[in-house]
Parts: sequence; structure tokens; C-alpha cells
Amino acid sequence: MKFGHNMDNNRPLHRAKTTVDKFALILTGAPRGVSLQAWDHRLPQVYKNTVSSNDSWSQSPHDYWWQEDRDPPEVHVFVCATNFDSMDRYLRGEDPRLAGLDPEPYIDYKDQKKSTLAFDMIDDILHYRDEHGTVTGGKMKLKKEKWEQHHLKAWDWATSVNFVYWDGYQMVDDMYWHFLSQGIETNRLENTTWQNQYLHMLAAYEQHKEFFDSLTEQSVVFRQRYDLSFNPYQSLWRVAQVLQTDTYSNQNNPEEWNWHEQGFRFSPKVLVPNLHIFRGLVSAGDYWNAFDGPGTQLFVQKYLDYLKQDPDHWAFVSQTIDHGTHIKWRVPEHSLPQFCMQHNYTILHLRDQEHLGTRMLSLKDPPILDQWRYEWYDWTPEMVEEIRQKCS
Amino acid sequence: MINIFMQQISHHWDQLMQHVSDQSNFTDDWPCNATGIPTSEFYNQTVDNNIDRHSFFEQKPRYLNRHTNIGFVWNGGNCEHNQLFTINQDWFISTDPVDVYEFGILWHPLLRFVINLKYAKHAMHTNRTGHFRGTYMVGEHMIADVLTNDNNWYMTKQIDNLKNVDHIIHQNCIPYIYKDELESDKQVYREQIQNFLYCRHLIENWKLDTDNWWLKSHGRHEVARRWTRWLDRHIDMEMSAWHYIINSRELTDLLRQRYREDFELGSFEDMTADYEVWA
Repeated sequence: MKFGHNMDNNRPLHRAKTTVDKFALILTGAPRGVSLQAWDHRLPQVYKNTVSSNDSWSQSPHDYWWQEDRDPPEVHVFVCATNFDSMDRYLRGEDPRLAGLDPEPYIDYKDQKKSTLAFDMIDDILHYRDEHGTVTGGKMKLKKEKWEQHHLKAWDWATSVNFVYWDGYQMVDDMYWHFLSQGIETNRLENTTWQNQYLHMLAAYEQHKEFFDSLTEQSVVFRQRYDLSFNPYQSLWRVAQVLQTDTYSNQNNPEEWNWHEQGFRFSPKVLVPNLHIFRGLVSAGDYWNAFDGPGTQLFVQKYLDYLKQDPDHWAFVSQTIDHGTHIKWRVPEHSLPQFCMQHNYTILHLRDQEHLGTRMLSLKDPPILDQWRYEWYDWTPEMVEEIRQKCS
Repeated sequence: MINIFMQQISHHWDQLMQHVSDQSNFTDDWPCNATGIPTSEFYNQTVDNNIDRHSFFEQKPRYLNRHTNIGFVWNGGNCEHNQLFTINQDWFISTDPVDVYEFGILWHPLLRFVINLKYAKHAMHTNRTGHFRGTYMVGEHMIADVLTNDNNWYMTKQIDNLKNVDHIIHQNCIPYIYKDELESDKQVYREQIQNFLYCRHLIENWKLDTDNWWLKSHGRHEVARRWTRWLDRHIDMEMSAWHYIINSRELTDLLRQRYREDFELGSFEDMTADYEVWA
């Protein structure tokens, strides 16, 4: 039996290449890795494969690269950033290399007094506070001109490059009063911490509503952090393939068992990496995910409501484990999948390292790090040296 | 300007090859045999285990060939190794001065700097869980700091390393570019060095010699090594460092100041002339 002999092994992919109407790439979070040449090679140049056959990587073009005679679909890039630099645990001394300043430690992290003093010094560099000690604004501005120049050059092949600026000081305040009005006192935070990676997407929606309203079931929206890079043989078609046709269709005949005919079209779709269920809580990698059009629209419109439902949804990582009798445990990886469960999404899954060849430019055994705070904010070696003198 | 030590800066690869063939006596009882460190041993001791490379390289190590009476003075990173010969038993490392015809390659200072940059701050602290070993960090401030303050072995001037060497080969004569249709001199200059970073490591001629008898009998024992993120991560750093330097006038100036003699020795182009074009 010559099963599969004349069959195109990648029919779902070719199907996706005829159906996708537009792509959106939404870059969120802190600008880690962006200034590196390696970033340029592993992000913009890899995504460029979506619209052209990239001859700089290999002599033979890959399936996931655009090789058709017709015009490729539009690719819109949304470059999101926070207006001001903000505090994170690495900046506070946990691992100086991830702080994007100097590779040499500048804070004695194990010394309580010194790390507290360092926090105060850094806080003074970063924040304006009112008489009650509440953060009212940021001091360390993003170098927007340099930032935009860099990205316009990097994404010059894209249909459009849209810059989104946002900061969360007002939101932190609003959420505090929102829960207080319900009789719940939550921690008053300096900034929106890891939620930035989702809130940036909400900001992109607020500032580009027309675009987001124009998305359809055949659109593919990819959200990722800046420090995530891909195998050079990938492109957004890999995501489109899974999101639109692959996982729940008959590989040998996608027409026969297409979920759009099975009522699946009424469920928005999301694609996440590393999906697991721990203690009844769905969790997935938070550094990237992909939506179809309706999935995007539902997320950007409803996510804020989801955060307001429960302080646990908003008030970040909390862990209470009382000898197994009472367990309360939430990590950032729960947020998006829990939201999607609540809103009846179809949740699809790819294991990122195995299937996409992803690699972090920070955090997970990084091969190379950059001095991103020097690069994109007005940090100077003198400031770091002053902290080092007093706190290490 | 060039023949400061009455040395010969060669732009002709053939000259050296001619010398090698003249000198070849293919003797196996060469007196240095006993004192040499096998190449693999060198890697185990210095690179993998990070053992006191400083004092090792202070002794001015050189590769010696068992068959011909020549020695190759170490002047750069590991790349020279790949440039000239694959790892095999014909070459070994010695730190003892011997009376052989010595040659060394004079690299473009920018190229040599980025290749050696992987040694800077190599032994960085790990975090509390012991992760992030061997992480490289690069950035304008870090490069400026290294160029200004670092005096370790990897930052020595080539003119010092190549003192009293019989035959200095200019890197331009190393035949790793075969393109005839290059547009201009400027393009040649850029391509030559960048090709080294890209092609030599990633695509061309980096062969592993397998021990597979079947492959050997079919002449296919040399296989191209595939890219791995663990072995090749320094190349990302080298490319990024390159990018930072050519895009920053300050860093370019620092590099030129630090290696002024090397620029002069090799008559390398002054990088300022092309700055606007490149940036």
C-alpha cells in the first residue's frame, strides 16, 4: 500500500498559507537582549522568513518560509514598552548579570542591611513618591528616539511598525482602591511587575483599536517577550499551522475533519507553550503565546476584568501551603491559561524548545547577556559604582 | 614602519608554504617530542577546566609540527587552530623555546579583540543555585571597560607576541575568501573579516574527524559539525561585540588607541575613514 506516497506531508501548513489573512507580532516586557546583534539575527531576521525566503541562513529554503509566487499576508509589529525603568529582583542584587548593568556584583545580596540600603538607593533613582510613600511616577525614562530608530531598522520588512508606550502607576493605584472598596487590603506595589507582559498587549489594543477590531478567525496574533528567540528555520507559519489546522484535524485529510465545521469556530483559540496542570490549576509558559483574531479580542477586552475578579488574580505570586490542609498557590504561569479556561477558549499546545527551537537571551541558562539598562535607560556606571561602594 | 624587528610581513601564503616544503624532513625523532603537551591535553587543562590560563599564555606557547621544522606562535583565540589545521597528532603545543622556523599570524586588531573577548570576566560568579555558568555578557560599557582597564593575557598587543618571530603572515593573505566579484576595496575589507566570523565558524570547513571505520573507508569521515547553542554561544557574543564597536566612535577610538602599534604594523586601514559608511 502506497499510503502517503503522493501526499504532501505538510498539507496543514499549505492550507494555512492560503487562509491566513494577517499576522500581528506583539513584543512585550522589558527590553532585554534588544541591543545585541544576536537579537537582530534571531528575532527580526527569523520572522522575516514569514514573508520571504531568507537566503542568509541556508541554501535550501525551508517549508516554513514563504515561497509562494503571490504576495505574503501583512505582518504588523507592535513594539510595546514601559515609559520608565522599574524595579525587579535582579536589579535588587539577586543576579547582577540579569539586571543589565555590570556583570560584577554591586550589592551584597545576603546582607539584609546592605540589600535594604540598596533598595532605597535604587528606589530613589527610579521613583517619585508622595508624602505617604506611594509611588506616583517614574524618573528613569526610556530613550525613545534611540529605541524607535533601532526597531524601525530591525523591522524594516514588516507591513507596519507601531510603538506602544505605557506605564502602570495609575493601574497599581486603581487596583488597590478597587479591592479596598470590596473590603480587601492588598499589597501596594511599586509597579505591575510580570503582568507587564500581558498589560502591554492591552495597551496596544487601547492605542490601536481599529487594527484589533479588524482581526478575523484567520488572523494570527503572536505575543512574546523581547528576550525570546527562535530557531532560524522557523517563522510565523509554524504557529499559524498549529493554530488554524493542525492539532485537531485529520493530518491526512484536513478538509474532512476541520474544526471550523465542528462548531469549533465558536471557541476562541489560544496556543501556549509547556502546558501542565498542577494541583488542578492549568499552567503554561508565559513568555509567548498565540491567539486567533477572536481570541485576541476577547483577551484584550476581558483580561482586566479577570484581574479585578479576585486579588489572587492580580496580587501576584502568593503561596500558602499549610501541611496539605490548605493550599493556595499561584504563579505567573497560571494567569493566561486560567483566564482562557474561564472564557472557554480552545487551548492548543506546543512544547517550545522541542518544537520551535526557542532559546532565551536571558533567564534560562542564557548563552549571552547584554547591558540593556545602560543601553535603553539613563543608567551610568557612576550610579552603579556608588551603590557598589555602599552596599557590597 | 613595518619591519621594526627586521621581520618579514608576508602577504603571500605561498611563501610560507614554500618554506614549509623546503624544510620538510619528515623526521619522527624530533627532540621536542617529549616536552610537548598534546593538543587535546591543552584543551582539557586550560579551556575546559579553566586552569590558570594566564600563566600558561605568559610562557608564549606555540604549536610545533612533528614533521616539519616549523613552529606556529600563538597570537589569538582558538580560531587560529581552525584556521590552519584541524586537531590531529601532527601538531602539539609547547611552551619551551625551541630552535625552529617560527611564524605567526597578524590579525586585524578588531577581529582579534572580539575573538578573545570570551575570556574576559570568564569566571563570573554563579547565583545561589549555581546556575548560569559560562554566561557571556556584552555591552558598550563592558567593552569600554575591558579596552581601558583589562591587562590580562588575552589583551596583549600582537606586536609583543610576535617579537622575534621569523615570519609574520598578514591575515589578508590567508585564503578564506574566494569571491572575485567584490565591489570595492572597502567591501573587501569588511567582507574579509566578517566572513571569518560567520563562515569559518558556522558554515565552511569546520570538520570533525570521526572514528567511524565505515565512513573512513568511504571517504566520508570528515563531517561538518552542527551548530549547538552550548559550544557556539561565544559567536553570538563576538558578533554583538563587533556590532557595538563599529557602531560606536568612542569604542572604535579606544580600540585604535590600545592597539595603535598593531594597526601600524599591519598597515590596517584606519577605521575612522569608513565609520560613517558603516554606521
